[in-house]
Amino acid sequence: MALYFFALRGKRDQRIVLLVAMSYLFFWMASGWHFLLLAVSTCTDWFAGRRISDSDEQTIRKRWLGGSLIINLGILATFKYLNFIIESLNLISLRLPSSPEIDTFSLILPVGISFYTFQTMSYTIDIYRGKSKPYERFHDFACYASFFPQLVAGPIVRSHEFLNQIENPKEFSLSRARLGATLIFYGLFKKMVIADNLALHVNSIFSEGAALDNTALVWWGALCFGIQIYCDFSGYTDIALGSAHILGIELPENFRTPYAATSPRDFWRRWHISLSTWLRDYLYIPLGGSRHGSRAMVIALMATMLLGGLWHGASWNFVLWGFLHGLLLLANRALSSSNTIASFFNRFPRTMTTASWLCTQYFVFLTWLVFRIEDTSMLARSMKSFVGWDSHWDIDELVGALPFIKITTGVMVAGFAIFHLSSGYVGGGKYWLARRQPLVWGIICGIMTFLCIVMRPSETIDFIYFRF
Amino acid sequence: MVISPDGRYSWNGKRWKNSPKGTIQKFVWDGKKWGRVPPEDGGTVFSPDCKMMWTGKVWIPAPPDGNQELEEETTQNQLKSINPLMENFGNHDKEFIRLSRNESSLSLVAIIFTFIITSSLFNSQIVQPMLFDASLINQGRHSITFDAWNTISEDDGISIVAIGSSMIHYSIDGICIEEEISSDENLFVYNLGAPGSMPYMEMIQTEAAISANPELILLEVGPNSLWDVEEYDLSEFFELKLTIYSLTMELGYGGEWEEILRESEKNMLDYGINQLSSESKFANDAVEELLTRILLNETSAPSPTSYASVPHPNSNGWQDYLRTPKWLFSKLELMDEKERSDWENVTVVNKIKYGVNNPLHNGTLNHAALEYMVSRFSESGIEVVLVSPPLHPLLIAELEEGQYDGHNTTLSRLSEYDGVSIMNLIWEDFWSDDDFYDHNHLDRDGRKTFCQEVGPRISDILED
Repeated sequence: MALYFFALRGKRDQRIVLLVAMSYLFFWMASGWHFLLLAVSTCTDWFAGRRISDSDEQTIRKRWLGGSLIINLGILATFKYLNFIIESLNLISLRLPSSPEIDTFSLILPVGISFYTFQTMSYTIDIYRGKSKPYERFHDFACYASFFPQLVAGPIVRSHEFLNQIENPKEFSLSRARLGATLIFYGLFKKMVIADNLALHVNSIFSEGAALDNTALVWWGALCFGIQIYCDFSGYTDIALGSAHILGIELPENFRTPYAATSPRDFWRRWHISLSTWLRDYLYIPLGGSRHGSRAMVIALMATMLLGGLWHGASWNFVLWGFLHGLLLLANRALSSSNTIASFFNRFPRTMTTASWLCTQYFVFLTWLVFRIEDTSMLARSMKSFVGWDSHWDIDELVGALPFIKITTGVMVAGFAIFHLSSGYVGGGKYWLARRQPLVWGIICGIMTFLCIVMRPSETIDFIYFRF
Repeated sequence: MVISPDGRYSWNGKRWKNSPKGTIQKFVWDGKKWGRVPPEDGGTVFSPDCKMMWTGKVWIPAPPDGNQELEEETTQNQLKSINPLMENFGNHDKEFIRLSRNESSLSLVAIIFTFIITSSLFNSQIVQPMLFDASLINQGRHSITFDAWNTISEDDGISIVAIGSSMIHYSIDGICIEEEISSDENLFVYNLGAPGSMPYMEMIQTEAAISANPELILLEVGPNSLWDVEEYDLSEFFELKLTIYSLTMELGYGGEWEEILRESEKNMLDYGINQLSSESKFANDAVEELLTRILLNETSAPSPTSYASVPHPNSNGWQDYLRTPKWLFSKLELMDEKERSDWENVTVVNKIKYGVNNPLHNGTLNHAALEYMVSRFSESGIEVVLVSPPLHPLLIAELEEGQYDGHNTTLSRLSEYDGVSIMNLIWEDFWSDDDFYDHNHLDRDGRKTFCQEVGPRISDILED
C-alpha cells in the first residue's frame, strides 16, 4: 500500500506493474504453478484482441476470436471438466458390455479459473463485436486479467469498465479507504460470523444418517444453506470490493438483496449479477434471446441456464440446478404474460407481490438443495421432503438433530432475514454503515471485528465459490 | 398539495412521488357515480396531448398513468437506493462522506476502543460468570484460581493456602482447620485444590500466589504430582485449563514457568491483551447460553447448590467456598458388597500397577514445575509445606517395596530449599477405611481426621 500510493506517487505505469506483480504473487501463493495458466490466458487474449482490432478482414478476425475461445475454453475444459467428462463416460460404459473404463487424471482445479477465463474471453469478444477497443498497454491488460481482489471469485469485470478505473489511478484518500474498510469489515462479518456458523448446521443436517424425511429439518437446512451461500459469496465480494476500493479501483456490485426477489427473473437480476449479465450478453443474446420466437427463446434460455449451472462446477448437480432455474424462468415468463395473473396483480398488488415473493423464494431455496447435496439418494429424499411428499413434520426431531448452537443460529437467521429484506430501504446495509459519523462507524466496526474474532467457529471453512 | 386524479401520486414541486396510503383527489357524485371535480371547481385539467397538468397556478408534467409505469418507477427508485455502485460505477465518491484526518483518527480510535471494551465486557460479564456456574464447563472449580488469589491478596489476616489436585481438594476443610489452629478470626485457610490438576498446570499461578503473599502454602507433593506428563495425551485437559487461565489471568503473572511449558501448551496460552482466541473458544457456547436465558428463560447451568457450581467471586458465598468447598458423597459408602469386592480386587490392584502410583524420581515436567514453584516461593519468603495426602490403607498394603522411592527422594530434594518443610501423611497409621471417598480421596470423616491431625502441625509451623 505504502509503495503503491506513496513511493510510486504519480508513476502510473509502475503502479500498474506493481499491481500485476502483487496479483501474480497472490495467485502463486493460492494456486502454485497454475499462475502460468493465467499468464497463458492473458497473453492469448492480449494478442488475439490486438489482431482482431488491427484486421479488417472478417475471416482473420473470426480466426483470432476462435483461437482465443479454443485456448481459453480448452484450459477451462481440461482443468475443470475433463475428469467430469471421463467419469460421465465411465458411467455410461457401465451399461455397455465389455467397454473399457477410462482412468481419470489427478488434476487440481486452479483457483478462480472460471472467473478469469470468462473475464478475458469477454475482452476478446467485445473487441470482435466492436463494442470496445483493445488495451494499449500490456501491463494494463495483465492487471485487468489478474487483479487480485477479484481474481479468485469475482465479480467478473468487463474490460472497458476496468480500463476506465486504471487509466488515471486515484491517489490515496481517507474517505475511500474508510469505505473500503467498511466493505471489508462487512464482508468479513458475513463470512466469519454468519456463513461459517450456519455451515455447522448445514453440514450436520445434510450428513449421512440425518432424518431427511422430516420436512422441517430439510426446510431449515435449505434456509440455512441459502443464507450461508449468500453470506459466503457476497461476503467475499464485499471484501474484494473493499480491497479494490482502497486501491482506488471500483468493481461492480454482484448482489442486490437476492432474497427480496419477487420472481425468478428478479432473482437473477439480484444474484451473482456479474455472471448473469455475462451469460446474458455472451450466451443468451448470441443464441437469439427472445428475438426469434418462443421456441428459440426456450432453447436459448435453457442452454444458457444449463451452461450457467455447469460453470459453477463439474457435476451433474450444477447442471440440474441450472436446468431447474431455467424452468423457473420459463414459468415466470409464461405466468407474467397471463392476463389473469396481471389482473390479480392489479386488484391485489400487495397480496400478489407477497405471494409471488414467497413462491419465488420457495423454489429458489428448493434449488439450493441441488446445489448443496451431492449424494443422489440424499438429494432425492431431501427434495421429496421439501415439497412435503412422503415426509413428516417434526419440530422436536429438528431441534434434536441440530448441533449445539441452536438459539444463536435461529437468532442469526431471523436477524439476517430482517436485515436483508430491510437493507434496501437504507441504500444497502454496507453503504448505510459507510455513511455513519466517525464515532458511530467506529463503534459498529469495532463490535463487528470483535464478533468476527470470537464468534467464528473453530474449524476453518473455505469460501464456497473458491471451488468454481 | 397537488394530487393525481387517481390519488396515487402527489407532486413535490419537482416530480411525482407515491402518495401516502389513503390519499384521494376530491371527487363529486353526479347522481350515478363518482366523477372528477370539474376544472371550474378546481379539478384536474390536462393539456390536449395529456402530457401536462394544470395545478391551478402552473403547468406540471402529467402524473404517471397505469400500473406498469408505477412499478417501473418504484423499481428504478429502489435500484438507485439499493445500489449506488451499480448506478454510479467508477464515479460514486460523492456518495460518501468526506473525512478529515481528525475524523479518520477518531474512527480508528473508536474501533480500537470499542473492540477492547467489548472484549473485556464479554469476558468479565458473560464468559467468566458462566465458567463459575458451570454452564460452559463441567466443573466451575476449574476457573477459580486467579480470582481466588485476588481475594487472598485482599484479606488482611493470616492466609494459608493449599494448592494441588483433587486429593488436596478432598482433604482440606479450611474452616475446620482454622478452628483447629486458633480462635483468631483473622486466620484463613483456603483450599485451591482442583480436579485433575498437576504441578505442570499449577505452576502457572506461582506469580499470582507470590503477589498475594500468603503466610503459608500447603503444596501437594503426592502421587498425582510425580508422573510423566509426556506419557499421556492430555491435550484436551490442558486446552481447557490453559484457556480458562488465559481468560482469568492478569498480564503481570507471566514468569519463568513459561519456559517450562512445551510449545503445544504455550500455543494454548493466550493471556493478557491477546486473550481473544481463548474467548473465542467459549464465545459461541456463551452466546447460546445467554440467548437461551433471555429468550427461553432456561439455562444449562446446574443448580447453584450442586457440586459443579461455584459461587461468583462477587457473591457472599465466595470466600466461604474457597475455605470449605463442596464435595461429592463418598463412593465407598455407596457401594454394595459386590461393587466393594470388585473395587478391592480389581480397581485397587490396577491403580497400584498402572498410572500415577509409581512416582518418578526426577526429570519430568511435573518435577520441573514443582522445583520452580518451591524455589520461587522460597525466594519470596513464603513458607511452604510439602503435603503428601493420604492413600487408602488397602492401597498402601499392596504397594511393593521401593515403589514410592521416587516420591520420597523428591520430597527430600525439595525440602532443601529455605522455608520448606514436609508433611507426609501417606505412611501415617491413623487412616482407616471410613476416612476415604475412594482409593486416594478423603471423605467427610477423613477431612475431619485430616483437620484434627494437620491443624496442630500447621499451628506449630506458624509459631516457628
